[in-house]
Amino acid sequence: MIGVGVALPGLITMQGMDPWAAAALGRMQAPPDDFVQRLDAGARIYRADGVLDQLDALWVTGSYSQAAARLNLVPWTGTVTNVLPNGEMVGAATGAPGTMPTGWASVFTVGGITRQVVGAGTVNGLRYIDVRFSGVPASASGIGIPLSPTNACPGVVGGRMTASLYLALVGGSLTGTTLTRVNYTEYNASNVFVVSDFNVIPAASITLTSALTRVSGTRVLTGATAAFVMPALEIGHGTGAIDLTLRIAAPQLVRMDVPGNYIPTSGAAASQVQMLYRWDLSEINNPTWTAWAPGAPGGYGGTASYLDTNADPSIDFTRASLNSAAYGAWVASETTSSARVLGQTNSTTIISPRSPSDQANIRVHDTGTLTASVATSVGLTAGNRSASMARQLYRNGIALSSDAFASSSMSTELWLLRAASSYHPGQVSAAFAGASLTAAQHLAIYRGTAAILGVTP
Amino acid sequence: MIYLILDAATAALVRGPTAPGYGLDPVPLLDGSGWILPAICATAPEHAMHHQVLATMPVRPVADAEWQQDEELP
Repeated sequence: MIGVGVALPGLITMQGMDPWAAAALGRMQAPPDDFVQRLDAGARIYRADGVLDQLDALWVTGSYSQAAARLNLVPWTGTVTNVLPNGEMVGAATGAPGTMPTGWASVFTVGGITRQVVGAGTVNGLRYIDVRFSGVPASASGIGIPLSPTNACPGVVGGRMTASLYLALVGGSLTGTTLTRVNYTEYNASNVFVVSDFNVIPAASITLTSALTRVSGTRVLTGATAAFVMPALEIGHGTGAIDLTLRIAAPQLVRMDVPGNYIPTSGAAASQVQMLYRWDLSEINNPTWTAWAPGAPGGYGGTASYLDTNADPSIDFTRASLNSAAYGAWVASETTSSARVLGQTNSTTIISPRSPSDQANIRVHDTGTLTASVATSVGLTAGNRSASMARQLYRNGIALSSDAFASSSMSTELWLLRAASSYHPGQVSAAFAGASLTAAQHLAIYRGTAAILGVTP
Repeated sequence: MIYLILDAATAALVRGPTAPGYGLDPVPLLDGSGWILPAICATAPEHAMHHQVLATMPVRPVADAEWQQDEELP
């Protein structure tokens, strides 16, 4: 199965299909024939004009399922670094109590609990340790197993960090425990505690069984003075007796939105070039999703809710750059609003398809607004930056206006249906981000997206 | 539209990812009296970890003008 953020095993080439479309469809469950045909048709239009080589992201939220609607259909290739220095758990030794892996020694337990390393080895190519915790806790609390020293993993405020590891319950039971989760603790450059981030890998997403299962979670660091981040596995418990043996394997911490493939480390961080799908959308505050239907592209809408792309364009995007970028959003609803359908905290990149004074507004890595008169909000509104002093506003592939406003900075996040504290009340059916597009490519991305959405251009 | 009305402590408590691909991010009321979330957040299964606390929060209709902060655009 190809899941969210999991490396592609190779392009899945369905007979005669565009390979990009085939790979994207490989991530979806049971796409209906009409969607397959529309995606393939759109891909061929994109490909003919070189659009696919320019994009970092393309979300088709007007899709056949809510899961498919959240997928970024553009794969990413880049360097992934596991910053945990001892993923291979070097130094672990069985015994009573045995020895925890190097750098993991500071296990926290309240009185009454005995910790014992009862196993270490390799299974399915993954190094693991088995750790038993037993006894009657002196108080309700949590066992904390640090996965690194406190000052080993670089992490700064705003950094989007994803922790992952494999877990199994290989002995005893969960009786007496209350939860299993992974938390972060942030430390400053002097190795002093800054802030805790609980539930990074949510307890609700961890079901311990005898099968070694990978779990992961992402959190943006919040400590203003943070210099390091330490992930730790927590096992909550009450005051009743506990006796469980956990198998832990292949822990990883990466500065990105997905866990990536495991990279072994034995004393220092290590990197690999990987091809991954990243920046799938997260639903924040339950935006409403409507399925595609003939003549009604569907997509996400709602109030006081939005979609987080989980991207930090300033460091994540490999095609968009400060002076070469394009962002666009397809709105299906007739909506007059000053709110933006695409944006971020500081509103340096925005798409506002139709204001109360019938203007479309865009910014692309800048602080000024480029406008054009429009009669509708419906369709694909795009902002383009072709140079440090050149930007353009497109509607449905047609350039409506341009100016020479200077770029200032790339954004550090990207949302749909929100910018700053402004939430767009319309319905977004598709959106894209990438490098600057030519006029022909803007027309192609409009025509291709129209084909996918089943809209006549 | 009906919203949950959260105090600052509860807003801070629930803010963040709740399940892979889902999260909560309470929106401040402009008068500083609290924070809002769409009422569906109290029962949506992806936020189960916060159901208990969200169930205790009051609900009321809230006009857009009480929370929406649009920057003026041309």
